Amino acid sequence: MDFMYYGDILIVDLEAGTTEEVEIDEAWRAGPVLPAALELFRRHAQDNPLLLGSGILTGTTAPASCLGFVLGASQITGGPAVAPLDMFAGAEMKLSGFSMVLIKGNSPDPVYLWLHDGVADLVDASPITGKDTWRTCDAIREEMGEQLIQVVSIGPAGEAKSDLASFSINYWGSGDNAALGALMGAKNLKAVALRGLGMIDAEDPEEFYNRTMDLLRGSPSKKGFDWVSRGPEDEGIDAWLKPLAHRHRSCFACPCACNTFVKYNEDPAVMGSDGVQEPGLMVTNPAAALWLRQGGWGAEGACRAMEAMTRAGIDAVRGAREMSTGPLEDPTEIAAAVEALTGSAGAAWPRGEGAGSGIFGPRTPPQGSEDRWLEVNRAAYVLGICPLFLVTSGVELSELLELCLPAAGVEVDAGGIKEMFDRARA
Amino acid sequence: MRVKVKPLECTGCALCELACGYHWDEAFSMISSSVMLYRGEEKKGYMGVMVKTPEDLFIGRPEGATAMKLGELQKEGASGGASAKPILIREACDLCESAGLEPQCVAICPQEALYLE
Amino acid sequence: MTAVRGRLGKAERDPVFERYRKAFLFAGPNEGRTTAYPRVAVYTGSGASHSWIWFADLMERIGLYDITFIVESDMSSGGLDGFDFLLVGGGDTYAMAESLGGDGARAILRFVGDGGLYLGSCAGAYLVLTGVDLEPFTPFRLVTGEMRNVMPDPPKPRCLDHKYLARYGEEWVFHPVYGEVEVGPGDAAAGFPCFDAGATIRAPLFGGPIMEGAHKDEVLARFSGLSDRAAFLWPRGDVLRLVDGRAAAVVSSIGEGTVVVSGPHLEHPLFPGANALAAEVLLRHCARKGELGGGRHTPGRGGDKPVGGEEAESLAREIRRQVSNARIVAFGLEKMPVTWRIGLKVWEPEKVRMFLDYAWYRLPFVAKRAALVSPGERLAHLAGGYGEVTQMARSVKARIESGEDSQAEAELLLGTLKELTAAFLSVYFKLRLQERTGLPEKPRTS
Ligand code: SF4
Ligand code: SF4
Ligand code: SF4
Repeated sequence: MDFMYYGDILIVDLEAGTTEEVEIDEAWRAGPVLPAALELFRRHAQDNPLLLGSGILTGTTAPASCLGFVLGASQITGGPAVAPLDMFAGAEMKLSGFSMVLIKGNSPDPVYLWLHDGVADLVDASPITGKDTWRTCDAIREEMGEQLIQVVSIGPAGEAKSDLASFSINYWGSGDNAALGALMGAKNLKAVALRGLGMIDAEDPEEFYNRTMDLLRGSPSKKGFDWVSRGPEDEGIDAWLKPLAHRHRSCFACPCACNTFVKYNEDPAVMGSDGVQEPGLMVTNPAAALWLRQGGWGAEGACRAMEAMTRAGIDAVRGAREMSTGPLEDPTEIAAAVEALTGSAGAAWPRGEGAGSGIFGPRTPPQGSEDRWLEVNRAAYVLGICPLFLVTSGVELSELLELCLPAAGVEVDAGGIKEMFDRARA
Repeated sequence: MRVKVKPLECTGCALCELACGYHWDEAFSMISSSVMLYRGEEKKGYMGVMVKTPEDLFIGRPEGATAMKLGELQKEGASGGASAKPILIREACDLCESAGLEPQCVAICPQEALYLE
Repeated sequence: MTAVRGRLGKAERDPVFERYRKAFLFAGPNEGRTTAYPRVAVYTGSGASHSWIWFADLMERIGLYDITFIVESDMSSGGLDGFDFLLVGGGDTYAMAESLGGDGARAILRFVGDGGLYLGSCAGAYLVLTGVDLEPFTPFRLVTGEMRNVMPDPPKPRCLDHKYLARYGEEWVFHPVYGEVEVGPGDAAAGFPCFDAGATIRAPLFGGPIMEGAHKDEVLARFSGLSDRAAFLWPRGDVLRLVDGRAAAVVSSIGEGTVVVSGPHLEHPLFPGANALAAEVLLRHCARKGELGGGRHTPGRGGDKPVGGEEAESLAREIRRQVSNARIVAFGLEKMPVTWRIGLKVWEPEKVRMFLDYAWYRLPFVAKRAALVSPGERLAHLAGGYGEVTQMARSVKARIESGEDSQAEAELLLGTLKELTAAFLSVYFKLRLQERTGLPEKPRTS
């Protein structure tokens, strides 16, 4: 019964510049990774810890099993907050060879953490200090010699510990709406880079695989944002982006593809790779696009603004809310407006707007009741399944929970998960 | 019969790699599949899918899909000579026959980007 | 066993190996058992490509850990004395013959004459066939056999043009099929368990000889069929007509010695049946001589100073760090010939990861026993070497990405990796061997 743990727990002491591998003790085995991480968060509260991990099904053929997490104290909510590690970063977190990573203390000098196949290296980040998240990702991939390395990094906003800071995943905006990017900045941790070439085993591989195939057969395979929208007022983002849309991209193992790659520095119809080096952006946050559209922005200006925010390491959703009322078109003016946001303070986690509760951010659409909303989020992170997929695909939560038995030899239900969280935070 | 690719349908989910890896290794990984998602130029939004067979490589790049004989590919680079051995890291596609399954990548692809012909 | 998983791990755990592990691993009396334990030399010198690693892998599967990796200079300087088996895998036959030269050939002859066993596959087989004219590098001729895959003007291939031909004087050696083939027993394989009840086995043919002319009693295996898991450079019917019934492997006794040659790679790690055929030949050679290893073994040197525990552990960690770094780059390199960029210069990039994988899966075993490695500098050499390999792989990749010629750097990288892999495996097998001497006399049933 090991909840598909994959390797030891890594404890990184940034102050001492050391890393230590610790076997998962029995207490932590009492729960899958996020509840265990919450328990560690509590135990190490005095070290202001930042934790990364994945879910039970992350990295498998379970639909949308892309999800990992980052957990830390949010300077804007004052409590622990969770942000999703999606796209390919959650799966690489699992394959990095560590079940969970606990990063404590602050580093005297800028560093980045390179996790690969069960090896943890703290690498000097002074050459990339001050760089935006795109240049940071480029530099780390170039230094390590591989383009498939997943880079969770902060830009100038994170380094400035801005309330609007958010970590980016590779070149794209993440669902960090709780300023965990600022926590990274406070720790002098410029990035966490992830890559592993391992294999993930299931307890009963055939049963697990066959069940996931059945679930995938019953899953929708939609593209674009409209199908994950929160309601009629959200719709129309796809049509708005269409003139710029190049292709849709899935996160790891997701049968849908809400992420939309837009090109504005090159004709979106250009399919080859010989042209412009940086032709556009992958839009990953429909809420950001929505704020800007509602504020009267044109799609191109809005996409440029989202790119600038992602590069600066600003949460595009909260940043877009700040910028929505002053639509811009000129790239220079957009850049200046985003730069002005970098040090900005006070934009709170938008609670009370229908979503965002407990440790979870507002990404998951409202579910009728707060209890149900919390249940979905808890389950999503424990399972490692994208919450957006979970609530919009029509795939039953119970069917996904049942996968835990062939996956890891454990029976997990929603009530049990709630208890794990309650216990961990007690 | 072989697996072919409609590259523009692909959304880069990597489920085909996972399914193929499972068929070879009974575990989940993206390191040994015969079908390979190419996603190395992320910033350009560029990606494609390739399938390795004993005789050629079916390359589905966004600009077009084509089968390329392994020899022709080698000519683009330097030659290993007649003594060069195929390496075992990636098996050529066997249409999942060794596992007694229908072609798994085709079955799993949510976007119908892979098909048999 | 190693920590290899997936299909390779499954092949490694195949029950066919039990017979040989029992016979070899637990050979000899409890006291001083290494005196009756076969010593194996694996050729890794000029001309050897990467299949020598497969031989090392096979030896491990059958419980033979006393392995030394030798190069051409070792052979001619009496370095074959004291070995029981000499294994020569695939590669470039001409380069092998040229580097071994007359001295090497005479050393091999003397080795076999003294009761040793020579096992050659693919290039290692061509090297010693009577029908192969390697002037001016002969005399290697140890086994009667003519190549059937030679003609002055071979027809155009259907595919794999680059693997099809090799110059052979005025003629061409050609390879009509590349990949898995089926072989059945020859007269010399009577009673071999791998061919029980009329079974055939699968083995990969990657350019090895298709033979005829050997005495019927010396034919160990004959081509008996084809498989879909192969590339057909000739139309399938023509291939079948050419290979069917021809010798795939031949064994010959020279005095006390044995020479075995095989077109297909019997040592390929995904083919346990073929592995068992090779293992049976080794076992029978030992049995024919009435002993396992014949007491030819010279005990290993002792007395080297191992490094201290902490330092050894930290070196083992450094090796792991660098092998992981290099593997990650190598994985990216693998797909590079198919990044479809014109003018790309890459030399079989998959090989880089293959070499690294062989070390990677054995690292946990070495790391646990790092303090036992002697002399200690060997770990430091490996740590430094793999660090260099990481840098070289990164630089090769960067060159390819920027469209520069990387041929020379890639060759250097592969050469370094080959040496380093042999050095790593030497450490590994030495530790395995040490562990073996601590084994109980009878196999544990687990
Ligand atoms: S639903 Fe969208 S965000 Fe969620 S996994 Fe799928 S592609 Fe990613
Ligand atoms: S058909 Fe099977 S073997 Fe071939 S690429 Fe698809 S999954 Fe792999
Ligand atoms: S499964 Fe289909 S959509 Fe997903 S990566 Fe493979 S080809 Fe593309």
